[in-house]
Amino acid sequence: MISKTLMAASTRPIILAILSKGEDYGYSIIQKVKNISGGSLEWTDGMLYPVLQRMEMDDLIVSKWTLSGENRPRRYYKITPKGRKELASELNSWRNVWQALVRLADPLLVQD
Amino acid sequence: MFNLEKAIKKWKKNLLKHDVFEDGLLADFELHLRDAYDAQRRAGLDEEAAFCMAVSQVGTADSIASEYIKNRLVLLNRRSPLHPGKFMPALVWNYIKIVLRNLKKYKAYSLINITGLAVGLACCTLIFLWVSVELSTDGFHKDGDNLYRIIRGDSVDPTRPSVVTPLPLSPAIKEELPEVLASTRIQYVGRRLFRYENMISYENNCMVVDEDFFNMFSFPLIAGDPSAVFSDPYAVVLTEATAQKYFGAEEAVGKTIIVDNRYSCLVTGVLSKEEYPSHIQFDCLFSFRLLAALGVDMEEWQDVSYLAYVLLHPESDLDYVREKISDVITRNAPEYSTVQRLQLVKDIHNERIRGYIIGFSTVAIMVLIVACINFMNLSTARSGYRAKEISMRKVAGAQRSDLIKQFLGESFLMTLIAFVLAILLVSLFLPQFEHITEDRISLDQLKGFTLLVGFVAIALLTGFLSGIYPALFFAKMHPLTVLKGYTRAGRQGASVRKGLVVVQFSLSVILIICTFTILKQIHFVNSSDLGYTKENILYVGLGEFRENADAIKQDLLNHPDIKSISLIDNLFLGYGWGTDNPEWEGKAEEHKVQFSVRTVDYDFLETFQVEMAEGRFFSETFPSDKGAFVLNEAAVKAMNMESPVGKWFRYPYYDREGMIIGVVKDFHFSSLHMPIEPFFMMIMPSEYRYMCMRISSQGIRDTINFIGEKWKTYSPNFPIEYRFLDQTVGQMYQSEQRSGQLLGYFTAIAILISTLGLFGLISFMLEQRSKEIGIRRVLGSSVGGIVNLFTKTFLKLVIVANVVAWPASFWIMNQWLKNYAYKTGLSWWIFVAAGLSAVMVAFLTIGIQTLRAAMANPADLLRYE
Repeated sequence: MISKTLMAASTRPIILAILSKGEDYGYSIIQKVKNISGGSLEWTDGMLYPVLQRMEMDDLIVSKWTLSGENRPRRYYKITPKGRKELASELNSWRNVWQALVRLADPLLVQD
Repeated sequence: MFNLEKAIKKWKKNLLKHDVFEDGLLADFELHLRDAYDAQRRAGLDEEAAFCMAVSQVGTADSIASEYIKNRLVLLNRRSPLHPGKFMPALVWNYIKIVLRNLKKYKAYSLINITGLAVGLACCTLIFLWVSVELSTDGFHKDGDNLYRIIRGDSVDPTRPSVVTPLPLSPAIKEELPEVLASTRIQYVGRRLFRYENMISYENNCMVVDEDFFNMFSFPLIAGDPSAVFSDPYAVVLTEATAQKYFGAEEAVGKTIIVDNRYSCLVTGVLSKEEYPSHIQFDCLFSFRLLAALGVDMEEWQDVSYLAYVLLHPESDLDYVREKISDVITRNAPEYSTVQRLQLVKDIHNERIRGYIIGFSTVAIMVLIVACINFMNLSTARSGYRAKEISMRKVAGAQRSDLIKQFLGESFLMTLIAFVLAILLVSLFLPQFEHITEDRISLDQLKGFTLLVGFVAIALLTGFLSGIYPALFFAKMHPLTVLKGYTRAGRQGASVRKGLVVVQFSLSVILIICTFTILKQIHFVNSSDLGYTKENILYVGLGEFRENADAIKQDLLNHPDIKSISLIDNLFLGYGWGTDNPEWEGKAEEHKVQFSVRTVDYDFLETFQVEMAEGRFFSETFPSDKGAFVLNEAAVKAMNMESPVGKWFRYPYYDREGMIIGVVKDFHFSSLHMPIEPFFMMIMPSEYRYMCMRISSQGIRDTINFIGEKWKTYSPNFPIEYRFLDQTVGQMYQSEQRSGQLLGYFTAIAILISTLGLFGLISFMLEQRSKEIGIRRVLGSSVGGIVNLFTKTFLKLVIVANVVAWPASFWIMNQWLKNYAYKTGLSWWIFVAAGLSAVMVAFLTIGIQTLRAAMANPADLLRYE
């Protein structure tokens, strides 16, 4: 079970990572997270939207409404150059944290 | 049966309880719910179960809303606050428009404010113009920073300054001290008769000076050669006005003027003096060479009656020079006291009138403060009318500083209008003011850079002083209280306003008390018993006709309206001629007394109606009286002499020794500024300079004609010039009279401005409380009761003002009266009268206004549409 704090800290980088592959809408983002994590990342769907709004406020992503194939309007989110920079820096940070943690807990596992 | 659309609608309604879910967000969530529902249906759940699953997936409205609220707070914090530009040109026009609109809308208020400020500024301008003229006295001398007058210690009391020095001192120090670059003596030789062809006139201010005079004082010589004007002893230099009088447009230099019908003097130069204010007043200048040519002993160190001026080297050490000059005096005339100080020439006049300058500047500032207070009071009292404007400005983003700037700007604009008006007032009243001050004042002085800067500074300061309190007051105002509808704004700051009214009335009361006291002192001087009769005494200068004086006197006495005639050496206008070396019977070795010396004739007592205290006066029946002395009581007291009559007294200067035959009661032979000093009288016909005639108060014109006719037969060449003694004595107190008059005007102005202010204030108050008055009337209050209610508050303030003003004016007037040896007391009635007049003025102003409001129809007062 992933702690609430870690979950909160990872939300933004994960969304950025998903959007770095192409634009997407809310429900689809949630599904991707569930599928990739194999259900270990349990997000409350509704909590995604305030995070997306906040990321838009921070200019990391931009959104636009389009009509989907099923004739349903959807708000698509797209990563901005600033978002990409943020993703790179987050990846780096997470990698550093991960390496430090593993070195301390189980040094043999680390292969640089 | 489950209905999806209904369920979604209900679910949305639940979300809408939180105001964060605006339409856009709601759409997001609805779509998400529908996607989730579809997925659950695809997984095989029935409609209702699929919906419940989807709703639980989306999450609870409360937790989502709290996340959105967090975002909103971040957004709010992050939004950059509004930073309006420091200067918004678009607003300037708005400010000006508001000022003009207010001027138009509240005409009475604007009139009171602007007139008050204009009058205050005009007073200040007039006084400061006068001060600048006074301060510029003797400021034009090229070497003014190194030009000094020698001040000795008085012979008897060395702490008292004396400006007279021995005759040879000035040339001696110039020769001995390298620091002295130039030096001149100045001696006033009184009134001389000038004649050129048919033009005959007396010149009152004739002065004898040394050649260096022209190198030291910068009166420009407009004709003549400065290095050669005094090469001839019988040379005279005239001022432009004097030259004009005798020669008109003709060239004056080279002409000969007959002086006193005796000496032919060649005009060698013409000086410009009118434009150059100086403490030295003269109509013509003679050379000391003339005195030498007339046989005056120029080496006589005992002859001590000359002013001495020196031009020092800029690097000179003043103390050293002073000691050196003292050495010269001690070496040549050891009995005379040494130099007390060297007084800068440009300070002489200023030191003399410093009191007046400080006094009048204070009065000007007081009047201005009274006007500024009007502005503050009326502006803040009106705050209720402007509260909405201020609130709107604040709500629209005006900062505190913007409002301060706006209101200060308004006050500057009002001051500017007032200043222009003030300049107009000044140019209107300048001639009258010049007449009172007897100074040459002109608005052209304003062209001088420093003075102009000074006036602009005063105007700016006035704008600032009167605007800063209202500005801070308005800037502090809370917009909500006003916009909520109920305004107490007009009542805010009421205590400050009351305080200001107290200040205003205190200043007015102080001015009233000072004016009354000065007028009382002038009255005291004019009416006090001087110990002699000055009324109906006509006096004539004898000129060179001393020897004929007795014959003229006998002839004039034939006229029935000429009661008595006395010949004397000096009028009772000052100390006259003094000595400290007489000796007397029983005098202790070291005992010195400074006496004033008067030469009189046998009819002195009768003419001036002076009373004897002891013994008798000079009488022709006793031939030995020609060598006798009569003293005054002050002299007897100073000499510590008991029963003086019959004791001997010696006056070494004339080598005269004789009996003291009588003692006259003390009388004021000099100004009332001075205590009565010791003096002695003797008979000495060679010294007589004035003929004083006591005439009947009936038929004065005929008597004067008769005197004129007789005079002509005895001295056809010396035209008669007569004056009345009481007028001449009155002139000694001219400065007091002048200040009394000026102060009277300023007091009237201050009271007028305060009253206008009070009028404005009470009008606004009544307007604000008109409904209250209406309700009181309806509920049965009498007109008197309402008047009483409103006047009480203000009258209390005026009474407090009196309590403040009384001790202040008591102190000020006590200081002023210290200038007089003989003075009127500070009467309690002046204080009460001043207080009462302030109360009366305030009562009338408030009373009439309140009465009008109280008597209005309550229905009119209460109607509000």
